[in-house]
Amino acid sequence: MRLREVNWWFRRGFFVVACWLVAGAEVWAGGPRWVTGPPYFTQSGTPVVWYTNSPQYFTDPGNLSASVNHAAADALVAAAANVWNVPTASLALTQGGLLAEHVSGANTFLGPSGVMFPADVASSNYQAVQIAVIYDSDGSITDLLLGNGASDPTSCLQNGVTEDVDSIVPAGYIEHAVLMLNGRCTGSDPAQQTQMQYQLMRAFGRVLGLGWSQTNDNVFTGSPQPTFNQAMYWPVMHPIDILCGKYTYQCMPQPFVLRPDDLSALAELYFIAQGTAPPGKMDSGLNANLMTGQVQFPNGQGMQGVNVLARRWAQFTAPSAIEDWYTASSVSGFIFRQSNGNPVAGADTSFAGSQGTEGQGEEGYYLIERVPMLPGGWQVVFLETEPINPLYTGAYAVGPYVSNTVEPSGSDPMVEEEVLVSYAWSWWTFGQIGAASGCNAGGDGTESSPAAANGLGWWAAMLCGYGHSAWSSLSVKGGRSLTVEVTAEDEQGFATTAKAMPVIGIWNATDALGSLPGVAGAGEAFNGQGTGMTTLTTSFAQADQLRIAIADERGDGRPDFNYQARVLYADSVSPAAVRSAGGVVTITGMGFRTGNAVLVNGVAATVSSWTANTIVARVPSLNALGSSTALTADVTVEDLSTGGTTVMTQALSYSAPVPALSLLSAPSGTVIVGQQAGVPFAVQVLGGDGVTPVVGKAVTFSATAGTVTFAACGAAVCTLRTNAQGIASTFVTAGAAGAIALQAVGVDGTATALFNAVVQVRTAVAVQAMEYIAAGSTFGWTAQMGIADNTVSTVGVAVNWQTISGPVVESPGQSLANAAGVAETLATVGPLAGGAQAVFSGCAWTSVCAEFTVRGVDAAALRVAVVSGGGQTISAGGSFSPVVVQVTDAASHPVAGAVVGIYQTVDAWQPACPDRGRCPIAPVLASSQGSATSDANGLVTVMPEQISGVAGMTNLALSVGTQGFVALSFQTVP
Amino acid sequence: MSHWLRVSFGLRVLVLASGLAAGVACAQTAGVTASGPETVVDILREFSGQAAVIFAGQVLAVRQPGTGVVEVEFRVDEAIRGCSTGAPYVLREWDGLWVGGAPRYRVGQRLLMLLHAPSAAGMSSPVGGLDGAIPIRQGSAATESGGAAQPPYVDLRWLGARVPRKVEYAAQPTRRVGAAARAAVVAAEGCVGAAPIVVMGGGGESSSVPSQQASVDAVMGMLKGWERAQHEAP
Repeated sequence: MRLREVNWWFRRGFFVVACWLVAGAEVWAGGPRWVTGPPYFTQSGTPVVWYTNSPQYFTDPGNLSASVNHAAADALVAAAANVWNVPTASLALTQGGLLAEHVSGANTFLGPSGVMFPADVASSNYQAVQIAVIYDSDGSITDLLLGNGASDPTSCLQNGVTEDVDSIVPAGYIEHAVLMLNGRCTGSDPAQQTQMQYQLMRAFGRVLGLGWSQTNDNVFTGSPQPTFNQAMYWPVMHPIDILCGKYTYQCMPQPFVLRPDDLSALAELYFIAQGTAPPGKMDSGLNANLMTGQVQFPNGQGMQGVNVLARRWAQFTAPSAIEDWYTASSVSGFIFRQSNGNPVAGADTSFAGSQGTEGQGEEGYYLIERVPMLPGGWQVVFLETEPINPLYTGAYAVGPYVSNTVEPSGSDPMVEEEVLVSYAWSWWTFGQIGAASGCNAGGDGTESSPAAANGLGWWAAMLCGYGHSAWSSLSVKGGRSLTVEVTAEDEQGFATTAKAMPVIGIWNATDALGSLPGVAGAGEAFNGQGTGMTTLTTSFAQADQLRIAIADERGDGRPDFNYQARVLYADSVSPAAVRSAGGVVTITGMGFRTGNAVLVNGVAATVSSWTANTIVARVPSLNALGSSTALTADVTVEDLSTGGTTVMTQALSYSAPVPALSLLSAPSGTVIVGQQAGVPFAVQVLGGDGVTPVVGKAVTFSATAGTVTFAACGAAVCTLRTNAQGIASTFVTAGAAGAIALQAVGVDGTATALFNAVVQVRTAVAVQAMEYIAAGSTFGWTAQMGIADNTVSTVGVAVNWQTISGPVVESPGQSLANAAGVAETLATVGPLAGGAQAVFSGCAWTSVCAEFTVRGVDAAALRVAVVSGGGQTISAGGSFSPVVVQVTDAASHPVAGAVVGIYQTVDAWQPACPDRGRCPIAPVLASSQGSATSDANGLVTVMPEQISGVAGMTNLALSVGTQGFVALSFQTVP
Repeated sequence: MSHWLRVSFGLRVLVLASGLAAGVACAQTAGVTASGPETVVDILREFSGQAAVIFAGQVLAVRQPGTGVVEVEFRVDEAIRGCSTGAPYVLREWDGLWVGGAPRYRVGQRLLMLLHAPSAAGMSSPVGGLDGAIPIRQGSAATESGGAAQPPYVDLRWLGARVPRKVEYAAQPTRRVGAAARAAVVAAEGCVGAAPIVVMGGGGESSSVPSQQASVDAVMGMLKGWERAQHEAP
């Protein structure tokens, strides 16, 4: 281990325990463009810097352009380089002299092993020339390297200055670099040269090993609107320039003055330890503070990629003096691994894959090397956090997440504070508020022991723990394909590209552990159709046992790397064979969901239901598949929303198309014996295409159970020929009660039908067949008749009423049976002599009849009897109930139409008779007489008289005919 | 001593925060007036004018044969200029652009490429640096609840950063603290430069559909239109 590395780790050990310490040794800090790590570098976790603190640049001896001669060009370069010569960094960037020749397209070309510059410009000459500055006066080299037209003045903001650090050695040092100045970007306008100086200054920063920085980023974004001071603290090493006009240097105040953030980064790389500053320099920590620590998840894992910023407050000043801008920043995990490799793509042994240490303790580590002190002996420094601007990726990357920024988990913590003196260090550990805390990845399985894939084909999990990958196992049949979909989600379950970058690999179970995917791999994240989705589709000719791995493309793993996984796999179809007409099948598998489409040889099936494991669908006919011969088809399940598919190759057989006899119609349910069924027994013969009728085919109709007669031939067995529509049809009559089974047999098939034959029974019953009426009276009687049929409802059946004998008239002459199967009519009967009769009938279905008889009752035979209401006693304030009497003949038959005489008196109330003397006669308070006619049941209702509120005795006498009489008394007591 | 300072400071922070909340930023122009292109469309057209090869495609392979160039093989899904749809296109970049090994392209990436013409040595690069390699992003899948799928879109945010704008400084800062700071950064994704050229789906206000994103069809349509106009011009 080299001295530099020893110093670095030795000092960092102190950081862990140091808070409020005064530094006394050299430190390394954050903000480097490159950080060493295995396998390319021989040391780990240290910024890549120049091998010497005094790299020298050598300029092209030619002119830069017609407007800028060599001397002016050298002055421009010197101005840009001198910006980086500052007291707080050990770096001394100076001009070492001139290159041996003017470099141009004439002596630069692409050789077999790369671009060939003149020998003294080559990286192998680094000991003599560390930085070669080429004056590409005609733009030919720029065009050569970047393409024709790249040197055009319209491209100067991009191609005015091109830098190339072309030698970084495994020891972690920069040995050589080339800077090309495009002469076509200079001209008569001095601002053109100033712009080039600005771009060259930033290029020197990159060549010196500085990374981009995000400090006071609202100066770039414009939101919120920045202040002038924020612009003054916006680092020169900002990733992307603001464009406010033709020249970007005009878009920031004092563009050639390094900001404290730049100085902090420079001090990180070219540190001057306490007490070691040479003349003209000063200790990096003098009158400055160093802020370091960790950003962590609640479970203690470092949270990489969080921008940590420092804000100052001068001693003994009011809160209003707290600066409204950030002074410097550092990104957590800046010395940690950028790329950890993953099981799908394998280990990343490239230079890019060698960036950063593997030490887990550095995952959330940040370091702001130098926060200059405000006037006074101490100051307060606040630390805050923020996400990295998502635009800062790739060539503009800030911090360790290069290919994609990662949104920090949780919200920013409260502001912290420190009171710091010169040389002081501070260690702060941030815990993001509400950050993801769970790290439940235990059920994921491992490469050597994968967990069985979720039976539903859907599951949610997380890639938690640095380098974690999830392993599942799955058995598949041959001739199948499947799709694995993995969607990165944030803590709220929303799909995102700002968390994990899922990659997917599939291996045979027999593949060697640690090998690259033996079946298929999706090594680049987000190739799916949906946000945050990575997808992998592959097929299997033979049955296979699989290992499926899900990992982060960077090999990262954190508590906020949630994902939703799905295996869309159709395993089998049942039945596996259908007729040429198609049919209903059930597809079994996993990962299905509502809306998934089913295709048979590319033709859509009609899906009727979905679950995660089954799909029920009616598959199209062979004809719809465009075939007239038997075939075995592919069955595809497709998720239209994600593009995911699973195919069962040659999984569904269709039988050859042949003519087929099929049932068109047949009697069913209950059929009446002896009556021709209303529905014919009909079959149809169609050709193999399911459409063309087959004419003249013989079809034999018979009954395999029961006795029938087929109308087509009048026999129990009929053989008919199909007609032009391919139809053979006959009506059927059952000959006996019982179950009937019919069949129609042809060479193209058999059709059967079942029904039940019953003997029909119809009845008509008079509800009251006999009625008595008083002789000489005329009476209207509602006659009712119930009708029944054992085969069908009788509701609405017509009943015809007609007189058979005697004086009777029925109205209406025809009525319909009601829901209870009862029809009725009003029969007006009389007058009849005593003992005489009148007869009428009601007939349903013409011949099913019931008779009604009405007999006259002589007056001498009439009787009357009390049915209810006799013997009532009430108080003076009460009311009597009605009295009901019934008129009958001598045989007690109720007699209708009898006139009942009614006689009533109301006597005054009288106390009981005295013991001696005669009983007083009560005065009569009221009296009345009248009559009433008995109804169809012989009943008459009479209301006893009373005088309201007066006590008394009501006497009631009723008479009918010559013999019928009854008397009653009712008492009203005081 | 330090403990006392911490308690004291906590109180002061509260006072400061309330004071800032009441403050009103007052803009003060301190920069230069914008000129030149005014919209992302202008930038895209400018790039288009400088490009000799334009296509939308996907990175199939990245090869470093050790000859001083890095070969990036694309599948050309839709060619506009200088290449053919369906045919592979191999971009040969000077390996100096890959300094430090940082990958400029990833296999599987979908990009709208606007390239300089290859030089005599066969090397080329995107117009405007990597800003001329414009990402084509995933759309969104349809949801079971009936949400419609969004088609892939062209991410023009980096081009948006090239739209000149006035540099104005506020007299008073708007303090960004905690979650507000994060929201500001997220919002700022779409704030750089001019207004979006085509707002997709639910509109530019949606956090899931930032501005300066346009459907692939829309952008390719514009590029084709400019291409036709260039050839039809007298």
